[in-house]
Amino acid sequence: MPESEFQRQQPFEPGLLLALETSCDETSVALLKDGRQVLCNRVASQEELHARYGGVVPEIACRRHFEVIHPLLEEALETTGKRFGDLDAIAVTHGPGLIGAVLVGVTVAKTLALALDKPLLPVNHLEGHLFSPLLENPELEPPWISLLVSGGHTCLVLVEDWGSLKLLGKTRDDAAGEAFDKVAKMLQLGYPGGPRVQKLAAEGNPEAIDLPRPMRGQGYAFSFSGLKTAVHRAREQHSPADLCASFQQAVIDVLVEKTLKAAEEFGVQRVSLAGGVAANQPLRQALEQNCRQRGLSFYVPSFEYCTDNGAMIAMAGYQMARLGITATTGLDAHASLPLLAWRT
Amino acid sequence: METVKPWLSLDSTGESYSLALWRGPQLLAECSGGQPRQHLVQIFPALDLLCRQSGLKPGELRAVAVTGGPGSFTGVRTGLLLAKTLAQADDLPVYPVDTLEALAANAVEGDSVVAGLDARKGEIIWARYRVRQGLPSLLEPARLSSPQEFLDSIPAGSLVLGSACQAALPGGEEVRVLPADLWRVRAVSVGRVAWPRLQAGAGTSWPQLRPDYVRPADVQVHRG
Ligand SMILES: [Zn+2]
Repeated sequence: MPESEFQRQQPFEPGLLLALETSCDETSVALLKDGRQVLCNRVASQEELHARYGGVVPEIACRRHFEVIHPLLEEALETTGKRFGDLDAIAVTHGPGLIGAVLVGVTVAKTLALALDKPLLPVNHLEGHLFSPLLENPELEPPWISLLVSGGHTCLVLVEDWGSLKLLGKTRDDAAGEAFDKVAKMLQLGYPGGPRVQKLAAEGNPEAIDLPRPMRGQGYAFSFSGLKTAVHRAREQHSPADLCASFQQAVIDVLVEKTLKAAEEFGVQRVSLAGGVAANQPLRQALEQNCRQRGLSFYVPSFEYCTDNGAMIAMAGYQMARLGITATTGLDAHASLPLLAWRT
Repeated sequence: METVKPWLSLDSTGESYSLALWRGPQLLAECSGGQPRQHLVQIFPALDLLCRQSGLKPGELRAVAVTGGPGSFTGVRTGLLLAKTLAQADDLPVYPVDTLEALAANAVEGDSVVAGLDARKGEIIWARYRVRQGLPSLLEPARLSSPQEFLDSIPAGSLVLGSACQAALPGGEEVRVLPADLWRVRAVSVGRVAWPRLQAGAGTSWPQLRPDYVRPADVQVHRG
């Protein structure tokens, strides 16, 4: 991470913040007012474009980002009655993600920052998810434990303070969302797998199959690839509905158990769930119920802010502005990017 | 009106990038450089510096000329995104220039100038121009060829330039290969080609900008 990507300046609170997100297969543009009010959160999903390939095709994603980002930008300004000159800062996802896709957003954001002479806030996509609960819960304050689950990521993070995040553990192989996709593919349910597995699981018995609970009791690391293999072995003897239900329950059990353990170990009273897989209803319910039983506050964004979106990037960018961290003209796009890269 | 206002020309379709600042037909400053995959990191500080040296703010630019391909997919997008965003933010016209035409303009004079780029996958993309006073006019439109087809298609007496020569170097008496330092597309050539169009006010608005990818996307699913 070249140090020249970031610079420190006087902390500030941008009144009107524009955010761009293009790290995977969603193009999104958002406007955030005073760090509180989402004026607009436009998302153009490419899901149907990639569905026939059973996964995201990077070059197709890049081409679509190229086509839609400027019209989205135009729409965002038009519908809110704002102009480029009204913007106080620009936030952009600069990783992790598909490198060519990240490049699209970063190139546009850097050009805007240069043309408008406004600060550029370089946001880590995962920090976007981490801070997404703030969009609807402005009272949320550190410390809290965040379970971040998506198609590309599964990790537990302790948000110690606004500028201090501790990665407690992450997946050693597949992300939770990826495991859902692979099980869906195995059962020929189509892509994306998450919603389809959840739907079929509702008709099945979660205790029908005794599937493993991988990495149980082994710190905060996750592993889902063995679970996927176990589903594969069981697929001859069981119905797709039972397979989905049992698989989903195994994933939920592991996620919930580790999250609660982290809250207990670090003595944290607040727990949040974020990322695309946070849209999974049974997971939301299970974590919420368990938190309530233990007297912990539970935060989860509404569906719109769980999947990739610009509003969460704006919120994370706003937190960077408050810390006085901005990007230089040398900002790069990164396929992988550690949390709080600017601190290293 | 365009004759006195500052404007930018750029190319990032190849392994290096190139920027030039103009006031009307007058070149104010230029810079080139870079390594593959470093365009994003290098172009912006370079543009910032170039503007400062010329006493301009990027927001004062009044038009952009840019190569829209052929070239590397990412490189083509980078230049077009920069131009498109400047155009959208400041309501500027854009002047897209074919990469092969800008390359041919490097030859300055020639009755038959063959500009060719290595299109990867064992193919060359090339076109043929007549070039007068640094301005090309098209003789044969762009096409993809194997290296051998490319070599066989070059008429006697032609000047040849571009990265195609790395994959297929023309030999013999009847064809002249221009020096390798002319094989890179230059923003100065892009600007020279665009200038008559600027004078004519024949610009494009940002929604009309389309990359010339030449090839469809490679369909390879990303595995995290
Ligand atoms: Zn995400």
